[in-house]
Amino acid sequence: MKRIRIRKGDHIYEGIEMPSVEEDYIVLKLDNGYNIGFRREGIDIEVIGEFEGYSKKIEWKAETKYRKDLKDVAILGTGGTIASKIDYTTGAVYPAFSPEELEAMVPEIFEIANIYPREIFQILSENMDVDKWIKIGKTVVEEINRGRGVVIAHGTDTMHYTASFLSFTLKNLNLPVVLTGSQRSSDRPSSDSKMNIYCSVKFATTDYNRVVVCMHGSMEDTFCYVHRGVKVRKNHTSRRDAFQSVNTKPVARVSYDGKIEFFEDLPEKHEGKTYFDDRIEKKVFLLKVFPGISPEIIDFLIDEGYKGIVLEGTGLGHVPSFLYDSIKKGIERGVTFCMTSQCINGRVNMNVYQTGRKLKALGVIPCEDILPEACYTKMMHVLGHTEEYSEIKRLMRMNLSGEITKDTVIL
Amino acid sequence: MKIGLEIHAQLNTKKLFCDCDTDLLDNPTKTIERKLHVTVSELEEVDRAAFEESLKGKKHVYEAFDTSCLVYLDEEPPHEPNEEAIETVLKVSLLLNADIVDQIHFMRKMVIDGSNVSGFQRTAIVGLNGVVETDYGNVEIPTICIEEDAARKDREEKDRIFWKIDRLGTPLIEIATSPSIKTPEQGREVALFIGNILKATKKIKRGIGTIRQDLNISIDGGARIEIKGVQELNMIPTYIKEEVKRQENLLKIKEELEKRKAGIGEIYDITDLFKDTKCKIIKKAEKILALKLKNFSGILGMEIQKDRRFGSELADYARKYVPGIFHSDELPGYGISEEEKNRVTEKLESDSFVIVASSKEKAEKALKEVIKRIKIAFQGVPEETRKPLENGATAYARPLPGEARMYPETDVPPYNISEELIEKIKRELPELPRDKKIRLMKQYNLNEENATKIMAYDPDFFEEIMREYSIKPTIFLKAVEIYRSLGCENLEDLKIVFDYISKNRLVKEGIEKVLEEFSKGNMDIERIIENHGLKPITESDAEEVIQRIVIQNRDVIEKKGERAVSVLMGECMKVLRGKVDGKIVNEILRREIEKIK
Repeated sequence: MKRIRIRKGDHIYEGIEMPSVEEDYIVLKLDNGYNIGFRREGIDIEVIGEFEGYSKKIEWKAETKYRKDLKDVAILGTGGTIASKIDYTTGAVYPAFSPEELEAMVPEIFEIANIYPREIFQILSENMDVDKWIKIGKTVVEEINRGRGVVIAHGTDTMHYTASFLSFTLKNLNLPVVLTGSQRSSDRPSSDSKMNIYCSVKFATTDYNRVVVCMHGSMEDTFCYVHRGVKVRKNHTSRRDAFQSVNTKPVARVSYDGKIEFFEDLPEKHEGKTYFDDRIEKKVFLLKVFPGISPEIIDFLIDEGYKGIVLEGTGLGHVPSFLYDSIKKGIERGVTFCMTSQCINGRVNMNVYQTGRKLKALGVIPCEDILPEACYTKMMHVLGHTEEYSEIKRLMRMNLSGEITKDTVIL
Repeated sequence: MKIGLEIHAQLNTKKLFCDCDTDLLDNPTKTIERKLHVTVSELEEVDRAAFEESLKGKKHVYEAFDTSCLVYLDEEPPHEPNEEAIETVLKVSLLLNADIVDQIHFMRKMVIDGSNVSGFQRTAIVGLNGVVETDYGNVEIPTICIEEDAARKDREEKDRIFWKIDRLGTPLIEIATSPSIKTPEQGREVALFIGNILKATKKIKRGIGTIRQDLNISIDGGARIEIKGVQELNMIPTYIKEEVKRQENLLKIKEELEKRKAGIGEIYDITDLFKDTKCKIIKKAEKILALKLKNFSGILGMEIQKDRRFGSELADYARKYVPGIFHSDELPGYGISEEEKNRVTEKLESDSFVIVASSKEKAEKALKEVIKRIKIAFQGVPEETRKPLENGATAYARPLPGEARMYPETDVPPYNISEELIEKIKRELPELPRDKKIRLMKQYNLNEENATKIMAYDPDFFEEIMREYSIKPTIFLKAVEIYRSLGCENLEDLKIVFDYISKNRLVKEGIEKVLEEFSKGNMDIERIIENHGLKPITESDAEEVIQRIVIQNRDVIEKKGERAVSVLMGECMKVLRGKVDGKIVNEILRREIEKIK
């Protein structure tokens, strides 16, 4: 960065030139720490030196001490704001994933587990895709088979998609896989990331060998809820308790003092090694139904070679009747249609209204109380294994990983 | 001597980054418990150990209200900055002859005491290079900022601090002068001048604590001291003088300590020496520890500021752990006997010492703080933030914060200030208070004193009254003064009084009675006039009354001649007071007496 001098009218301003979002402006960081912007027009700018920056990345020093009495937990970085540091000059947030940096940020986790940080990649979760899910899945398997519980630091936007995907594709899971993230970036003292990481690591040391999401349980820094990966949804744009279990209770509650309270029994243990099931059909589409929707959308998806379409239908699981022909055509050409509800809460039932009955008759598969996002990842998994309609239907309507509850309990 | 001022005033708008009102509220409906985290990278220059200890286990409980939104609970990113607040700060900047930045960049200033839910305060520079002209010379205003006010601390329990978030996010204007103020009086004048400019915008909140002054003071060889939160303008010169005195005395103490080769000794357990003490504080305590000092006699008790001794400075530091200390210069005293003092002197082999009574741990920590403070005394004056006391002295609050760690508030885009906006605001600028005062004096033929009073009340209201009613400025002032002395603030109530006076339906002398009734909630002016006989009577009616009195007192006039006027005036006024102007009574009386003679 450059140290510059700006002359405007009778006054001279000195400071560091900062990146400017608008081309017509130059942004100066004054020596008192404040930034101010100048219109480029009518000012003289002179470079007077170089500036190296305040924040230096902490270098990797040594392995942290191993403690026999503690369990091993791998923390996998995928990006997002959960594990990051601030550059005080630019305000830019950059990843902080060395043991030293983690220790500086959340020293408490080194008291409850032997921590193995590992960065898989650095992306915002809205840029996640199936290939990256596969990469995460394969990395998780490596770590689990080394006897380490796994915490995945993930951007929050699509965390529940990743959690669902891993729920279906990680087989013989022997240890917990805990996804966590941060709704308020790690650079602020009020960030939720510290408690989320702490509670997640704590939960990763249990015997709950399933994929879960662990995030703030309320707006307070007092406890986290642990949710089944297939039953959780981001239900708020900004609150730290945005993640909620839908149609079911959370799995457990982890207090900030480390106490874990389970709301269900521990799952059974598996024999043999954990593995990643890579038989996946990527050509699956998640389609939200709305009153003005046109059948051409479905025609287009069929022509594009999509193998499965998850309908996020209205109410109990309906679409407008003017889509029937296109759906019928798709099914005839081997495309699978699954029905979920955009109501989010509640269960699909296609017997109550004629619309539902007709869709069922066409071959649309009603998917109980599976969340649309979970249904999408489940379909990728199921279509990766069979092309036969009756088998697809059987698997889609069968509870594979907790995505279907038998009864919708009163919560 | 260097003196600088920092003035903070709350703007009477919505909150800076959401649309919530900024009124202070009473009944919180929700509490939210949080912890604030500080990562090592923020602590590069801070004493890490001390800092972490101070944070350990502290939880913050934020009390929110029905009307609180998510932004100031740090559960939603900030909205766009409040335009009215920004325009107000632009207005003040222009009135202070400052340059306006082309683009406002909000910054996050780390504040980790819990007073900001997010852990930082948002702040931005709006104006630069302003100047205030005073009778003592120009004072520069390097920066004018807009920022967020903090939450209100409600109470503290063991490991929890409770905050009300109603005030959090209220826009503040911060005006900082350079340290170019040269005298205590000039300090007051600058504060007054800036205060008047702020009021002229009519967007400043009124009431206690809405305008707060910080004073920065240092003398040659001394250190920068920030006196935070002075509310009473007239006290500014006193605080400055007292602080200068304090720094001078601390420098004297430094010299004296060097000369005497004074020193700090060990800490002794002297619990045994106080077995049968009459001092209640010591009796209650588990441990009594003494810090031995060498050659400090007389220095501990030396007055360095009004009613404050060097010992008070030591006590301020110890107060982190104990309520107070005893030092040898104030003993015997506080129930500690001469004999007990001698015992300590004997054991310590020194006649100067500091005693602390508490639990072992607290007493030790307190004495360590005392040692810390004494060590600084050998070097001179410590840089500190101090809190103003009522008598003009100050007490230690905390060390002066280091250079603020600031970084860009990336959730708020830069805010462009167009030339059109500046032109628009320039057209709307209120008349500068100083110009207005001069104009009022000329236009309404006021003396300086009355013009100053009117400026302090509400000059616009004054002008409105002058336009609409035919009354004299002195009547206006009288009414306002009476009404305010009765504890009433709503000057609008006075309009009907002015109306009655200008229509000659109420005597001027009746104002007091009417306002007294008003202040009791009785606003029926007709009835008040009726009940108290405040209706003006005509001159001919008055003449009749006076004639009668003159005739009745014929003998007095014959005896005293001219001088009878003063005697009979009293008689007349007994009857006419409040109904006819005294001057007129006097005139008629003279005329009537003249007739008889």
